[in-house]
Amino acid sequence: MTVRKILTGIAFTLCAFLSTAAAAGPSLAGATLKLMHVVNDSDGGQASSAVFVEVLPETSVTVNLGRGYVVNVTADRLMIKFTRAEAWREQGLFTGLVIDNIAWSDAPSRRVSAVTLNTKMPGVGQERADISSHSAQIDFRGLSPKVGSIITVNVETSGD
Amino acid sequence: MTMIIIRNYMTVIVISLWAMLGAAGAGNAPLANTKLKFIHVVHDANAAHFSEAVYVEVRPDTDVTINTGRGYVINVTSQHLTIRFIRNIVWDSEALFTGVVIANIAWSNAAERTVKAIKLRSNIPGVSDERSEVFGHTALINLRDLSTKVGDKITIEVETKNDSPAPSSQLPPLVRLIPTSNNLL
Repeated sequence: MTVRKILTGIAFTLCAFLSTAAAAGPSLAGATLKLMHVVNDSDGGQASSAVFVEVLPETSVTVNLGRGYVVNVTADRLMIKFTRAEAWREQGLFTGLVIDNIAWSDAPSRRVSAVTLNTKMPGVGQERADISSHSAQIDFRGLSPKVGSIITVNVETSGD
Repeated sequence: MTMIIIRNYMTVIVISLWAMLGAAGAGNAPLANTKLKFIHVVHDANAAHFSEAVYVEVRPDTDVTINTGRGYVINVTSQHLTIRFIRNIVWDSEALFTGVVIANIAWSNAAERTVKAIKLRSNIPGVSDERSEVFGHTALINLRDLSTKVGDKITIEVETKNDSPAPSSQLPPLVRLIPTSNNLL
C-alpha cells in the first residue's frame, strides 16, 4: 500500500515536471510576427505584402503569400510548406522569408534571439538562417523544394 | 499613302483605348494601400471571443490567403476579399454574432481610417447585404445560422477612406535593410 502511494507520488511528480518542462519551451505566444517574402538582388530589394500574425497560445494560422509556399504559424513554431516545385535562383543576395518580431509601438525592443531549422530537405542547414536584431531571415537561394517539402522553423523571441 | 494615314489613326485609337482601359483598371484597386485586420469573433450572451488577429498590408499586386483555422480561408487582393469555406459548417444560431470582423487600421491613426461601405456577393442561400454591417473603421460579416459547404464563397467589396500610402511602398532598398532590419517597420 505504501509502495503504491510512493509510486503514485513519483508518477505525479514526473508528470508535473514534464509538463513544466514543456511549458517552459520556446513559445511565440505574445509575439506579433511579420512575414514577408523578400527578393534582394544587386539592384535592390523587393518585399512582398507584409502579413502580421498576433500569436496566441492556441494560434494556428496559415499564410499564403503566393510565392510557392505557405507558412503555418503556431505558438510553438513556424512551418514552411512548399506548394510548388520551384528551383529558387542562386543569384542575388537573398531570396526567401523574412520573419520579424514586431510591435506597433516598441519594435526595437523586441528581438529574435534564436532561429533553428529542422528539415529533411537536401541543402537546408542552419547556415540558411540568419538573425539581425528583430528579424530572422531564411534564405531559399539555390534550393529545389518539391511539393510538400517542409522546413520547421523554431524561433525564440525576446522583449515581448 | 491613305492606308498609312488610316493605319496611323488606328494605332492612335488603339493606344488611347489601351491607356484608358489601363487607367480604369488602376482605379479599380480600392483596397490598395489599406492595412486590413482580420479576426474571427464569436459573441454570445456571456462574452465575446476573439481569434488571433492577422493583418495584411494591401498593395496593388497583393494576393494573400490566410487561414485562421475556423473552416474558411480569406483571400485578400486590392480589388476585393473572398471568403472560401473549406469545411461543411452549420454556424451557431444562438450567438449574437459569429463571423469575420475586418478593420481598416493603421498603426498610429486607426481612428481616422474608416470602412465606408461593404457589399456581399454570394450564391450561398441566406447571404445578402444585411449580413454585413459597417461600424467606424470596422466591417462585420455575420455567419450566424448559415450552413456553408466546402467551396462556398462570399466575395466582399469593401470601400475604405482616409488611407495613407502604405509604409511598405516607402521601404528603402532591402540591400540596406537586411543587415540592419530595425527599419523594416
